[in-house]
Order: sequence, then structure tokens, then C-alpha cells
Amino acid sequence: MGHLIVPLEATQTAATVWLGVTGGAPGDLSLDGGGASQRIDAGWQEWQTRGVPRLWYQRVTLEGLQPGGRYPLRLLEQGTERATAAATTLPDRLPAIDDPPFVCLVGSCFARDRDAVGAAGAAYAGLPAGVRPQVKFLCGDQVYLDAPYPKFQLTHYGDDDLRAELLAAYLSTWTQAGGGGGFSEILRSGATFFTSDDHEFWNNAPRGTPTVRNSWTAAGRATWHALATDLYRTFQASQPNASFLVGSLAFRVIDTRVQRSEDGSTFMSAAELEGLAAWVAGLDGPGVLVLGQVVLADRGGWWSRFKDMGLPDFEQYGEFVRILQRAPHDVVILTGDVHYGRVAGCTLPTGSELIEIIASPFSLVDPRVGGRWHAAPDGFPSSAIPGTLRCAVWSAPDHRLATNQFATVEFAADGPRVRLTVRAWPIPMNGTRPSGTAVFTRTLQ
Amino acid sequence: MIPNRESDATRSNEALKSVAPQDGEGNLAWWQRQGGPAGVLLLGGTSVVDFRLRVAQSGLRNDLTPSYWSSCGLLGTDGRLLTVPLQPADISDVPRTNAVRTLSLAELDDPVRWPNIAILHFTTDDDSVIREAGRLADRRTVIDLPELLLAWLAYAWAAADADNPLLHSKGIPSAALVAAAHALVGIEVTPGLSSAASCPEAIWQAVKWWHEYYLETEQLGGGQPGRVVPTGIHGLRQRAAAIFDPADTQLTVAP
Repeated sequence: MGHLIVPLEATQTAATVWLGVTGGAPGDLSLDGGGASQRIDAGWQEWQTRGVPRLWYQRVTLEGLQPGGRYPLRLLEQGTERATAAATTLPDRLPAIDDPPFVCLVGSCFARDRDAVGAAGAAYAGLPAGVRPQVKFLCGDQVYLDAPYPKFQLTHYGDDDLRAELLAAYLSTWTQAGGGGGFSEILRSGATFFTSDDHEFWNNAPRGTPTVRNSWTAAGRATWHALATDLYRTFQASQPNASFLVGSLAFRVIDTRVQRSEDGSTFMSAAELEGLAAWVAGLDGPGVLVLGQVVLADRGGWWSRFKDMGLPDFEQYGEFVRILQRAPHDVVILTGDVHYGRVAGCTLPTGSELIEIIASPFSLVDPRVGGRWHAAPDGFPSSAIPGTLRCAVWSAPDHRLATNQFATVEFAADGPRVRLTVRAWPIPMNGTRPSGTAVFTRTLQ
Repeated sequence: MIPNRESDATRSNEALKSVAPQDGEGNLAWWQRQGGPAGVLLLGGTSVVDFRLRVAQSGLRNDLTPSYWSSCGLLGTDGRLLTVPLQPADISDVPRTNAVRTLSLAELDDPVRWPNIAILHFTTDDDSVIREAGRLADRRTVIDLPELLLAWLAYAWAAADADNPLLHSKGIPSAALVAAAHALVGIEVTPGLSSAASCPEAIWQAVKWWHEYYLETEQLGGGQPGRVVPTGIHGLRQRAAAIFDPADTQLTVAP
């Protein structure tokens, strides 16, 4: 049997944790943490394959916690420790500039099969104590449901087999351990906010792709999409968005993949876009927007229909840009997807700054789609969009990392403003401790 | 290749009209005959430097021929023009003025020296745009026009290894001023460019081919007061770029 604890969303006084059990029905379990012990004897949900339960899971919220706390968690079965983790709560205000900062991790694109030694998790576990993240933003492609190539191109999977394959991909990723590393190390320490990208489904989902035979028919796509969405809601984000405040710094996590249309019109629902617009318009200080694809990007054009359509390839991108260009305060975008690290930005027509931070990949899925860095387009938007002004875009010259990596983003209060520091962390392959480099600093307002 | 986008429009903007100059008519008289309107002034010149600027913008044209235009500025109803000429009056003034100068249209009257002229309108509130352009003369932090000036002088003179600055997203200084001043009042004047490199040809094409973009912007609402679907008038005396060198008129070679 296997037991898992994954700390999920947190507030200043509460932490939600995900509990999972595989290989057999949960026994007499209790969760120790936050100064209390609670029995976990009800509320389990099941995920079945071939009519047999394979996974039991539930979300538990620990309440009455202190802001800015770190809470060791233990899942016990009749007193025997089955799993451990550490939940965190959000600080109630940003630390002063002389104090340890509020640290967030940004990462994306973890191809488990390409990280046999668990290097990504080892690097995370090896972070110096002063920069250990309180919050992680995992920006898509946490699992590659359509890998390895050409497995899903050669075989059309029936519904039962597909359920089993997709669940197995999640479990092998979520339980990856060993050598002090593995993806489970990343998952089990600190609050986690997830957003999705195409490989939570298949390459370029929801459009069909040549590399996945099941996606060649509408019925095949519908079945896979439903299963993958269910798994995404089970293991990762249960809601389409999340928002929280740390002092005057506002965070919003959005999803641009789950509700994406096949016809190239929308990447999020009208209601979600309306929510984003209200969030941007209501900013009282700098905002941090987390999503699964790059905003400062060119259109991919016709070819992107077969590779992966980016946000600018959708009609809805126009309204998305118009919303961002009305930002009354600086907006920091955290994202991934493209297999390199980059910091780029522009001054919006309102005078606010837009700064986009990319961290990708944790583990590169295929050498043919990595190793090359690209500057941001010269303008935002890069093509003419009615109701927008094209803003000149810069790319930070000293950050062109195109190896396996993640980033930490530090925030501290600088008077009424917010000091932002981006630190890039290449993932060493030999098990040595990671060495981070501060690649960008800016004061936000 | 200069990064740019093609408009989806299949017909050019009917609100851009040709008003042919009369025989012997100078630019000032042509402008006065139209009622002396304010707006974005485009000029196409015939000096060697103007010729090189017109050629530099040819990459933005489907036919790859030189642009009709080499310079531009913001013209007031009083005939005064805010612009960034490549030739400063006093090089010591450049840092202080952000290379912005006020000329009079009378100084640009010569139809041999400046055969092409157009006046374009992106707004009915020209005063606001001119006011922002005046502020840009004091604010190099918003746009560093001397940097662009140096790049274009190097290209104009073929100094060292200087090539077309538009390829490096460096706009023609006078167009950068016009674009920045409009941007500060919420108006995009070069929607066809993928980069921040403004140039008179891109402004011309905005009026000629991007009218549907501006119409859609208006329909979206919430725009700037005074913003309009662009209109314009033009008088073209030299469609194919050529150089007029005053030295050619001399019949003798100086000793």
C-alpha cells in the first residue's frame, strides 16, 4: 500500500492537504499536524479502473493555524507512520526588506520518465533554508499523460485501458521518490497551487494531435478529455481559479487549458475571463498572475494548430490583452511551458509594468523540444489587436537558461512598494546541491 | 526582414483622399488650400538622406519599392511642426530637448525638396497629442530619441557597419515621436508593426489599410475621447523615390 500527503492551497490560518491511498482500502488513519490529531475515517472518494478501486483520496483542511507557519504533518495508521509532509500557511503581510522574504517557487513541465534519478526533487529538497518556498506554483505539465512517444501513437486505447494508463501516469509521478529526491519531494513540502497545460491532457489538447491515436476522433478526444479532467481535479486543482492576498500583493491562479475550445476561439470560459478582469481592475497593489502558457508571445500561425496553440492564437487573447493593459498596478506573470527560463516585460499604457517570469522545465520531455532560448517578441501585443497599444518589450539579458530548472520568486515590502527578486535554479544532475542565481530584481508598485 | 503584420483589409481606406498639388504650388499653399488642418504631417524628401530613409522602409511594402515618406511630425493649425529632424539646429540642444524641434511648415514649403505631403488624423483632439509631444521633449525616460537619432545618422551616412535600424527595432526618430505622443493619449498609430520601430510608412499604412482595426476599436467602446477611424489627405508629386541634388543644377565644376 502507498500513502501520500500533498499540501495544497493555503490561507493565513488554514491549509488544505490532499491525502491519497493506493493498493488497498484505507485503514484506520489519523492525520497529525497543526498541534492536533484528527481521524480520517470518512470522506474517501475512489478512482476505479476496470471496476476496481485503485485510489482513495480526499482533501482535508486544517484550520486555526498561525500565519506564516510551517506545520509538519504525519499520516498514521494505528500509530504507524505512513507518510509525512510539511504544510505552510501564508504570511499575513509581506516581510520587511531586511527580513527573510516571502518565497514562491515557479516550475513546470516534469517528464517523469526523463528524470530517473529524481533530480528535480533532490534539487528542491536541497534548497538552502533561507530560500525554501512557502508556496509553490506548478504551472502546467506536471504529468505527461501522452508520454512516452510513440506509445500512444501506435495504440488506440479502449476506455478501461485508458483509465488505467492515465491513472498510472499520475501515480508514478506523484510517488516518484528515491535518493532524497523525486517529484514527491516537491509535492510534499509547502503549499501548492496548480494550473494545467496540454500534457495534463495530450499535446495541443483539446485539438487532435498526430502523436496520440485516441485524439484522432471526436469521441476519442471527448473520452480522454473527460478522464484527464477528472484526474486533474482529483490530483491537482479542484477549482478553475484561486486567489489570495499577502498584504497588498494579490495573487490569482487561472487555467487556460481545461476549458479551451477546439476551434481556436477561447482558452477560458467567459465567466473566468470576467473574474480575471475584475481581479485586475480591483488591484490595490501589485498583482501576481499564474497561468500555464506564455503571455508575451507571438502568434504561432497555421503550424501551431499541429504543434501547440499558444494564447495569442486564440480570438480571446484580444480581450485578455485589453484586460491586462488596463492594470492599475504592476502585474507579474508566472508561467512555464516553453522549456527555457526568461524574464521579460513592458510598460503598459497605464504606466504599470508587466513582468513575465518563465521557469521550464523541471525535466525535459524530449531533447528535440528543448535547449533553445528565445527572446520575447518586441511588442505586447506582438500583432495588432483593436483597443490595445503595442508596448515595447524587453527581455532580461542575463537570464537565458535553457536547461532543467525552476525559479524562486521572492517578495518583500519596500515601504509601500514590493521588492521582487527572481532567482534561477538549474537542476544539477549529479545530486549536488543546487546553486541559484539572482537574475532579476525590480521594485513593484 | 522588418517585423510586421499585414492587415486583413481587402480594400483601402476611402477616407484617405488624394488632393493633387497645383502647378507650382508649394506645400504651405497646398496645406492652406485644405483649410490649414492640424494632424500628423508626413513628408517625402529628395535629399540623399531622405532617399536612404525611403529605401529603408521599403521592406514594409509588398512591392518593396521605396516609401513615399521620409519624415513626419505633429502639425498645429498655426503651421508649427513638432518633429525630430535628423539634422539638429545645435547638437548641444539635443540632450536638453530630447532631439525634438519646432519647425514651421514654411521651412518645408519647397516642392522640389519635399515633393510628397500628407496630413493624417487619428483623433479630433490634436491639441492633446501635441501637448504630449511637448512633454516628451522633456522626458527622455519615456523615449530616448537621441539614441534613435544616432542610429539613423549612422545608417544615413553609412558609417562603420551600420545597417537599417528598422531591422533592429529602432524607429525613425520623427515617427517615434508621433507614435509615442499618440500612445500617451491611448492611440496606436502603427498597428501593422510587430516591433516598436515606428516609421512614416507604417503610419501611412495604418491609415490606408488598418481602418477596420480602428473601427473595431471604436466598436469595443471605452476608447479615448476624440479617437476616430483615421482619415487623411495627400499630395504626391514623386511616387518613385529619386534624389534631387542642388549640385546637379550647376553647369560648371568648381575648381
